[in-house]
Amino acid sequence: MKKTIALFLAVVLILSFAATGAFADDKVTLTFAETMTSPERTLVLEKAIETFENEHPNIKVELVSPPYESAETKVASMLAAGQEVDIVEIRDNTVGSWINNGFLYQLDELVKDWTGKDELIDAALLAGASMGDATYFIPQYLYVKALMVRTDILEKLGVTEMPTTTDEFLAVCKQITDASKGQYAFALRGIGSPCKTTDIMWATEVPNLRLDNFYLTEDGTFYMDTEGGRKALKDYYELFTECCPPDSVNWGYNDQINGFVSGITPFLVQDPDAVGSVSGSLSPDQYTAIPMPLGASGTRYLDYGYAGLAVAANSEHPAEAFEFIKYMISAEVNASICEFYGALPVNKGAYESSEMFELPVYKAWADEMADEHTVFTKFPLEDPRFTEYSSTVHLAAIQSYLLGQSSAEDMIKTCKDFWGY
Amino acid sequence: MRTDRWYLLMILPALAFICFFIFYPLFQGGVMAFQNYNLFNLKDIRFIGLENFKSIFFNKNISFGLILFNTLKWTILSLVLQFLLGFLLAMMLRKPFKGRSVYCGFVFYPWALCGFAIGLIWSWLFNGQFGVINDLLMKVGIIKENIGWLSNPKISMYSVVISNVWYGVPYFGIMLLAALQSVPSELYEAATLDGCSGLQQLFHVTIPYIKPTIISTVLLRSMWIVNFPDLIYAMTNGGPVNSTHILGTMMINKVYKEFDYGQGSAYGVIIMVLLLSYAVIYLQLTKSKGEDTV
Repeated sequence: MKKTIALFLAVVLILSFAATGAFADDKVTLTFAETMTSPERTLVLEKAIETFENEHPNIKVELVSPPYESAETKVASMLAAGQEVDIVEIRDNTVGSWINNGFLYQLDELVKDWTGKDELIDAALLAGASMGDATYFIPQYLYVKALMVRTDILEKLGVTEMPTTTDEFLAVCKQITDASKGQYAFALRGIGSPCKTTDIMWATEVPNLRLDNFYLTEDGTFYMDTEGGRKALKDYYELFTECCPPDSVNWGYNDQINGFVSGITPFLVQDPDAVGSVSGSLSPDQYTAIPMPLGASGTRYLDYGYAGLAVAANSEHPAEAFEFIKYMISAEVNASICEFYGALPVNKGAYESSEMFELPVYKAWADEMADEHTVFTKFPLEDPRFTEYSSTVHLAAIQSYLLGQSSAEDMIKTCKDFWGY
Repeated sequence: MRTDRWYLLMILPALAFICFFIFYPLFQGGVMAFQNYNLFNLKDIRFIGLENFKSIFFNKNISFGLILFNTLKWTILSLVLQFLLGFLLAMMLRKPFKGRSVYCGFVFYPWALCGFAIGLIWSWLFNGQFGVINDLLMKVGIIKENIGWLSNPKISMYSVVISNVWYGVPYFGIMLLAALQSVPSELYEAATLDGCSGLQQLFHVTIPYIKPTIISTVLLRSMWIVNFPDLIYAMTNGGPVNSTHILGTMMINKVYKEFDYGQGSAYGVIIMVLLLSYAVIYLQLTKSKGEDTV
C-alpha cells in the first residue's frame, strides 16, 4: 500500500513539475514592444519575427502592439512599471527621456564585437552616437529632409533648371505661381511640428552653426537672431504669401502630400517616407528629389531623424534581445521594413537588395547625404522643452507671423525668450 | 441590522469596482496635478505645490484667458445650436410618416461616429484648397475666392463649431423626440379647444411638459462638449494661432505631445472644478423655480 502511495505521489510530482515548466526546454521568450503601430506594419513585423524564430528555435518573440496614438506613453509606462519588455522601438524625440529615466540597457559590451556595425551607413552611426558616449540603441531607419519635385509639372510650367540655392528656389516659386489658375509652388507645413521643416530651410542662411544644437551659432547666438536668420524669415514670408495656398498655414502631412500629388504645389520638403505616400499615385518619372537648396552660409544643415531598436534595462535576456536587433538590422529585413515606410534603411546592403531603394528618387537622398556641403547637426531633442517648443510655441509663433499678426522680430523674440538663449 | 449588513455585502463588489476604476484614477490625477511628473524625467517626481497651476495661469506664450474664452465660445455656440436644431428635428419627427424609422436612422448616424473620425471628415470638407464646401459655394456663385475655413483665425472656431453641431444635433433629437412622444395628446386637444395657436401650444404645453428632459440633456451635453476636444484636435490642432485651443486640447497637448502629466492633470483638475461649479449653479437655478429636475 505504501509503495502504491509513493508511486502515486511520484507521478503527481512529475506531472506537477511538467506543468510548471520545470522540464520545459530552455526556450527564451522575448517581448518586443512596437511604438509605430499600424495593422499593416504589424503584419510586416510578424512575418520578420516568424523567420527569426525559424532561424533561432531557442528564442520566441512576442509582439506587443499598442495603438499608435498612445504607443510611446504606453510603452514608457510599461518600462517605468518594470513590466516584462525586452526590446522596444525608440524614436528620436523620446529616446533621450528614456535613457534619462534608465529605461534602456547600455549596449556597448554587446556592440563591441558586432561586425555588422560596419554595414551601417554613416548617418546611422551618427544617429546611434547622438545621445552621448554610450550606445543605447541601434537605428533602424532614417529620416532626412530633401526637396521633392514634381518634374512633370515644372516641365509643363517651363522650368528646366532645378534650383540649387535658396534664392533660386524662391525665384522659381514666384515664377510658377499663378493663384488665379490655382497653381502654387510650395507645399508649406503649417501644423504638426512645422519647425522640423522651417529650421532646416532657414539654418542654411546662417554660417557657423553648432553641430550638437543648430539653434545656436558657435558664438552662442540664437540662429534666427542673426542677419541670415532674418533673411530666412523674410524669404519664408514671401514664399508663403506669394507662392503657397493661403490655407496651407493649417496643412499637415496629408494635405502636403495631397498638394504635391495633385500638382497644385510641385515643391515639397519632406522625409523619404513621403515617397511611400506618393508612389501609389505618381509614377517614378513624374517626380524626384533634389538636395535642399543652399543658403548664404554655403552649408546644408540637415538633421537625421530616426527610429531604432533598444533593449529594455530590466530585460533578463539582453544577449538574445540584441541578437534579434541584429537580425532586424540585417540587409534584407531592414529593406523589407523600410520598404513599407519608404524611410531610408540604415544597412548599406538594403540599398542593393531592394528594387525600391534603387529608384532615382532615393539616389537623390544618397547624393544629398554624400554632398560636401552637407553637414549633419541636430535639434535639441534631449531638452524636455523641445516638445513644447515644436508643438505649441513655435507653431503659434510662425502661424501668427505668416498670417501677418506679428512681425519677424516678434517671432524671433518669442522663440529666443522661450529657450532663454 | 442584519439585513443592512447583507445589503452592504452585496454592493461591496460594485463599490470596489467603482473605487478602483473611477475614484482612484480621479484621486491619482488630482495628486499628479501638484507634482512635477514629466515622462522626460521620472526620477524627479516630487510635489511642487501650485507650480503647475501657476505655469498654466501665467503662461506667456498662450494666455489662460484666451483658452477659457475659447472654451466658453466653443461650448455655448455648440450647445445653443445643437439644442435649437435638435429640438426642431424632434418636432419634425414627432408625427409618424412613411419611412420615418429609416429617416431617423440616417439622421442619427453622426452620433454613432467617433470624434476623431468626424474631425478628419470635416477637415477635408472644410479644406480651403481641395474642400467640398468651398467648391460647392463657388459653383453656386456665393463666393469667388476660396475661404480658409480652418486657416483663418477669425473663422476657424465657427468652422469647428459647425462640425460639432452636426455631430451633436442627433443627441438632442433622440432625447427630445422621446420626451415629445410622451406628451399626452389630450393636452393638445384641450389647448386647441381653448383656442391656443400652434406657437402658444409650443410654449405653454410642449416645452413645460418636456422641461425636465431639456434641463437634464442640456446639463449633460454642455459637460460633454467641454470634454470633447477630439474634433478640434483632428481639425486644427488648436490653431491657427491658438484660436481654437480649449482646455481639453491643451490637456491633450500637455500629455501626448509634451509628456507633462503634471500640467496635463492640472488642466484636468481645472476642467473638473469648472464643471462641478457649473453643475451646482445650474441645478440650483433650475431647482429654484420649483421643478424637480434631474
